[in-house]
Amino acid sequence: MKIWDSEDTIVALSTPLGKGAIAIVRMSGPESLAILNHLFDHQVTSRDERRAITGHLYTPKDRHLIDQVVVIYYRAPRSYTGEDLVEISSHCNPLIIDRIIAAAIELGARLARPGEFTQRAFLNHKLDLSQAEAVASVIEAKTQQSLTHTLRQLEGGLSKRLGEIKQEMIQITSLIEVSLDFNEEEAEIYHPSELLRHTDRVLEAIDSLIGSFAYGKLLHEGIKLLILGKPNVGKSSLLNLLLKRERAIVSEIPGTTRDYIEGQLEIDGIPVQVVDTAGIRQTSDRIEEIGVQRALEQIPSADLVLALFDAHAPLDGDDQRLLDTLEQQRGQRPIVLVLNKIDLGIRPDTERKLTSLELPLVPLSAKTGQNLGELKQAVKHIILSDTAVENEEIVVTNRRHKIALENARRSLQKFREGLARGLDEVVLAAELRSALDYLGEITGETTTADILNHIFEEFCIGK
Amino acid sequence: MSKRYDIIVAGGGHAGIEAALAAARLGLKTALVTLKINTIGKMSCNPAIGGLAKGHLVREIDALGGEMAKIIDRTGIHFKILNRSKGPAVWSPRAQADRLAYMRDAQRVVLSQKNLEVIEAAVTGLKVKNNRVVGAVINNDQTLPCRALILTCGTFLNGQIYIGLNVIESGRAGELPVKGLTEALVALGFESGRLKTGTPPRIHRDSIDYSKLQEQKPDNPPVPFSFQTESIQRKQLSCWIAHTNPTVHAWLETGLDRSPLYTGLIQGVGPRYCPSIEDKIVRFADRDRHQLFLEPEGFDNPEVYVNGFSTSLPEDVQIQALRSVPGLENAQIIRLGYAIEYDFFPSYQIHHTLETKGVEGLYFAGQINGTSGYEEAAAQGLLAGINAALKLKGEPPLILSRSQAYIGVLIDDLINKTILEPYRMFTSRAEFRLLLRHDNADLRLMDIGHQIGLLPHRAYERMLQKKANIARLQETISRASLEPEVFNPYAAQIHSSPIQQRLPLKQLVRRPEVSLRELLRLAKLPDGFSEEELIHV
Repeated sequence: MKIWDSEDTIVALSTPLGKGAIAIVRMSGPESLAILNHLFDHQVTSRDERRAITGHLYTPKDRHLIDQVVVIYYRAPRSYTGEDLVEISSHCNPLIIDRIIAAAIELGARLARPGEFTQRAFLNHKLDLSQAEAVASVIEAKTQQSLTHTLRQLEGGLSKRLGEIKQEMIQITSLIEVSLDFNEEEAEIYHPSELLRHTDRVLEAIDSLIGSFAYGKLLHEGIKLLILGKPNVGKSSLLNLLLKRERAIVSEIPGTTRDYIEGQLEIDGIPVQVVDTAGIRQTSDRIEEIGVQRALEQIPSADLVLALFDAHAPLDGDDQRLLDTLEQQRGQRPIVLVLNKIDLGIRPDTERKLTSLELPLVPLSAKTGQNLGELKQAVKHIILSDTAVENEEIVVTNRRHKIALENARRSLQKFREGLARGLDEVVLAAELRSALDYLGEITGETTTADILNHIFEEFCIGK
Repeated sequence: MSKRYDIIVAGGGHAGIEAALAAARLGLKTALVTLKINTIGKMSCNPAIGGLAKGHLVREIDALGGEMAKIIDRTGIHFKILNRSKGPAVWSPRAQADRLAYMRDAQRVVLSQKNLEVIEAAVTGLKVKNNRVVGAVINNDQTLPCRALILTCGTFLNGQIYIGLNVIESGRAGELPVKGLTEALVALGFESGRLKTGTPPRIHRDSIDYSKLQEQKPDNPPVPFSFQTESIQRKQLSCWIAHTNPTVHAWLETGLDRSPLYTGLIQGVGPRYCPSIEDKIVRFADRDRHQLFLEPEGFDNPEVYVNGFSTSLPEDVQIQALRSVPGLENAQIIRLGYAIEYDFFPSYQIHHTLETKGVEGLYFAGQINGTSGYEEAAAQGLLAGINAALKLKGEPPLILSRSQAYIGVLIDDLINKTILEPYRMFTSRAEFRLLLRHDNADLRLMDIGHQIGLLPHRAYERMLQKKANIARLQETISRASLEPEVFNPYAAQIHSSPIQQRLPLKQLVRRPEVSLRELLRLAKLPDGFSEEELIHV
């Protein structure tokens, strides 16, 4: 079955739609140069490879001027996709872009499907699967740290680390296979204890990659932080303080926030989605009641809850209701108690009561910004508590990769146990193969030929 | 010579024998065209059949109704099941043959086969009409009409032998190559390539000092290859193990400047799993010794095959180096080692039936497809013969899957993988290795062999009996159980952990250290099962 048609030439706008200075239309495939030359007032040849050429584009039939453009031709295989590729930089006007793409389609190109340029790069071995996946992550990275790690993945950092792990596993597999396939005299090919140690080292390497996922996920997907509290306890002020702008309307009137309001911020490179909710209280206002309901519905999807209380007032019925709700959530998601409005003073009985709950407690003034640093520190501390070291070089950010690694680990672990128990090498080899297959879901398949190649390089085979 | 044949097989090697016998036995009028009748069934390389993974192939050939296993059972002089210390899936039979006896036996079978005529000639071309084979050209002038042509030419297509810098046009030591056939196929649009293989010197058995060698005794009693053989009759011989040393390596090095390999004379690619001794000392320079396996070639044949010493170095170097091996100081070389380069046709050009994609009715089997080894050749020959016959009879083809047989793996690999060196079977190539055991080849394939009509009825009946016994045994052990006081004394004997309560045999037998026969005895159950039946469970 043919997976894709290399005869096709594809075209698409590569920059965002809308008005701007420059737009880039990309065209890839065997006909891209011919199509360009049909539209362009210069004849671009292979000698012009990777040179910026200024000229004019005309419609194919009636030769109407489309735009003044700059064109760069990348010759196969030295291009992003590995095919002949043309980049046309035009003025960024949707009318111009439409005409360029329409002209290309008229001459035989077709509109590229989403991600098709990268798909072709992958199929032409310009990128491996983990690199191809990194392209989307780089584009979508929300914070500097996240970008750093996805760029590293794009550069092949993860591929390289996985390649090393795969190589180690091929080495272990080779020893078993040599013992099975090339050992008519049944000599001892390896020392089981040494092989066990080797396996442990590989398991450790896989573990450290799996461990990095929690941090990778944080960088990639971020967390959702929910602000809860009774009306007028300062939730919207806190949101604004965190976002450093007047996002939510703050007023003296309790119940101003009737629905929930979201904002994005970054705490030490981790994207945080903050959700400010309607104040939780017993109410007869139908609309406000819906808001309260919605606030409570947000709880299950939150990664962290900030519960606000008034520092200078005694805890009232609404506070108690919130505390009851929190009690149900205890252990399911981290909760930070915030003692707000400390600029107005702290009531000892309120503080005592909250302290007795044995949850992290941060006194704060959302109005003056006092102790904001401490709050951020507490949040960061909680969300990083179950992740690996944050300056880990290679971080797994993709869930599919993590699952493949976990599966590979499970098979390798079975191999290890079998080896320790002295199980049949044929069965052991099957576990190793399945570990390699799982790893192959990220790095590409390991074939018998790869293993035999390694064997012939490393071992003197043949009597 | 008849005027017209259904099937012509070109080549009398291990592929040709199976192809011709299968075709004739399936009722097709068949001709085997060979350069010399008295070299039919010659073992041109080492005098052994089977070995790791190859033994599986031989058992499968037997289960389908092929001949190889029976010939080696009649002529073997050293039988051994390899890999006995591993799991049963990779146990594999190997046997040294009395080379002359093997050849004579093969010739007797071929020459006495009904529907099969043997013609002494060279196939030098073919006649094709509308993309269909209609005849074979022999000796450059005569055309033999046929409906299918199976090419099993081994290393004979433009074969060239290298000993040092001397190049001899030859198909095998002392035999002429076939010229013109490659060119005829290329003219039909086939793509050809070049491969290389090598063979070690043969020495006289009486010139060896056996006291300096290590003896390797055969299994006693010998286990036959064929499911149809009751027992091995021939007297058995030992093999001997010797080792090279730094002096040997130093001598070999003096010849590298006259090596056809290292001077670039040989272009063809050789097998990495069977490197020449010069290759070994260059690539693994840190090793100060390599093992040699001295294989006797028979009772009335004084030649001893020095396995592990394959070489194409010049004569003087071969002699000096060999005589530096402890035990071989006075070795008399009967035949020098050599490398041989030959044409092959990259096997993506064939279907799974071994029929070529380019020309209908034309089949390739054996080294012409880029394989190496008697067993690989015979397996393809058998399948080519069967498929050519089935096609002419208008019946559906026989294609074995990768999960069914090593033969299926072999042919599928040939078609779907790029062949960069002579292809040899390894157990690691079979993803269903755990299921494809040598001892269950009968259960896996005899239904097919019987249905095609190649497998004798008696062999089939025996397999059905074995199947029934296995089912009975399985039922027995899932029903019967042992009390702790019966099992635990035995467990202590074999260092197995004791049991606390009554456990079914089925569960106990899962322990690798436990013997099923012993369990049956403890449970006072009737035995009478063969080893093959027990191992299946």
